[in-house]
Amino acid sequence: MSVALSALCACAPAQSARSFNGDWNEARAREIALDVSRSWQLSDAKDFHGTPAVDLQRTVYSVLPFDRAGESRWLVLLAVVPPNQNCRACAPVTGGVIFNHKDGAWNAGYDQSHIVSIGANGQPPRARVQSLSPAQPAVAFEMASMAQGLAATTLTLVTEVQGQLREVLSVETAESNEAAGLRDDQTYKWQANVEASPSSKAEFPDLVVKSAGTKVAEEGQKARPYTSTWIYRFSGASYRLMP
Amino acid sequence: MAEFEIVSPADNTIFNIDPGAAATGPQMPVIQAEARFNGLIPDPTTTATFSWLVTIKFQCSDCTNGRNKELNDEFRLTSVGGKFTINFPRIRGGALTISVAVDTATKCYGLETKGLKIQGVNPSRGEVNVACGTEIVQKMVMQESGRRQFDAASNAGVSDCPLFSGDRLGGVGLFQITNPAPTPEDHWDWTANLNHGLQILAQKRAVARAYPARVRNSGAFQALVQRFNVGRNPPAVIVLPDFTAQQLELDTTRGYNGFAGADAFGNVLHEFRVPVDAAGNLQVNVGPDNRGVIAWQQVPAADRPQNTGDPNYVNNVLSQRP
Repeated sequence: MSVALSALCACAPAQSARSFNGDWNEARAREIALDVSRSWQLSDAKDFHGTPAVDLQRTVYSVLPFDRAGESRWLVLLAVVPPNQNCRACAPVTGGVIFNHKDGAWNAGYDQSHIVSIGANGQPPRARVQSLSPAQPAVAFEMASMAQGLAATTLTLVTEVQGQLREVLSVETAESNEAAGLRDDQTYKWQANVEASPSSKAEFPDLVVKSAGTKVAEEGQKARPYTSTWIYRFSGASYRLMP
Repeated sequence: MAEFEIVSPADNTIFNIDPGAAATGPQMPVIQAEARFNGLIPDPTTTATFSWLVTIKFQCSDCTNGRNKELNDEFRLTSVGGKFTINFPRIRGGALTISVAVDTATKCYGLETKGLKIQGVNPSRGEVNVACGTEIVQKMVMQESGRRQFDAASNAGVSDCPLFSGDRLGGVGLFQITNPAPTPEDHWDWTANLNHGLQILAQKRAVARAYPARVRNSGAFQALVQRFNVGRNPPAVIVLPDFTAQQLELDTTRGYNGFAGADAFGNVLHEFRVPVDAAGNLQVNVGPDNRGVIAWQQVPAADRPQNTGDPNYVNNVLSQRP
């Protein structure tokens, strides 16, 4: 028996439980990422609001190109959540597996069990790539939600810092109370764009958040025109609002 | 032995907010503080005036999905003698520091505790359900937070943090109070959170109750009726009734998540709508008395905006088991 197994292994030297040969194969990458996620240690208290971390449901919800400085890579994002963790406040844990291409094989070279806990009703946010610079790809998690008639979208940027995927910025990019059923003059809506400063050439460029629309100073007051420009600068660990 | 020391509470002691009952609300711990002098003659411990400063600091962003907001509290008291019973005036959690200072004739003494904290404890299922009152409110609390005020298991789970919404809108506690922005009490006092939610629900109920009349009085609805009556002689009497008690309850529930979207009459989209066919014509049965009473139609989740809020919020609430 052992002879036969050795012979089998010799046929596929570059293939392992965490890698596959040939062209990029998203279906295979999803399978590997799910397998990898089964080894993640997640805790009841820290990750799931005290709900026991048993029978966890794991779903690949986004597969993103994550090239860095010419190196081909893919990031597979997974949502992990206990069964019935579906309250409005409840967010799944998002973990990730990064595949890199080496010696003709795609290898799950890095994985992280807990990147963010963002979501609602047990569902994760939308995710897309928003590169900060050619050498610094980032994931933009966009969470649109509503509560008591307040609708808002939050943008959370995650990128590699000191070898880990880390949240570096989280800002609101839209807010409206149109669904609150208030009088027209108390109803407001604003939106914001987040862009890298064109004058900034750094790996972590300044990020400019420009908002425009209407807003109320306090609940119940009349909505007024609103514009703002905020600049965020990378501090070594995350982006901070410049005074 | 130190010349002046805080005997109690010991550094790094953790206190809990007792969740109490629906009728009483939560109770802050009662802390017996004691400071004393050692080796001074005469010993001023029982006669000196002790000035106490009690501080609680809490930064929401230290918790999962909490926003950058500080909820701090402090109060001062004096005692003659080194023993002092701390009765907190407000329900608050966070890092607790007790400072004490004494001026003697020869020297000013001051000390503060280290590492104390006050945590929240989730109320029991029974007490939450009593406080909710109606079944629909019990279900809403399940839908919003899984019946958790704090970021721990329901029914007596303990945490340093209130339960903040995973969407990062700043919603907090049992009823996930978001809009208007939650008060400090909404963070730490589960009965205050619940009562605030009930107040918001009352506002939504008023909006829901007024909706049928808003539609009836709109020019667009009247035009719809006119179009329906083209060719009818005499024209049918079309009645758009107020919501039934059950419809009002469901529309109020809808409002708690949000009236996202627009109806056909220039209003926000409610849980129910006036039924029209694919061509936009009014759907109503006219009886032999030439009278037609419109039956409000529940808007299917698929017909609601899919990119904001929970299109299936009302059904999700109804499916909860409190």
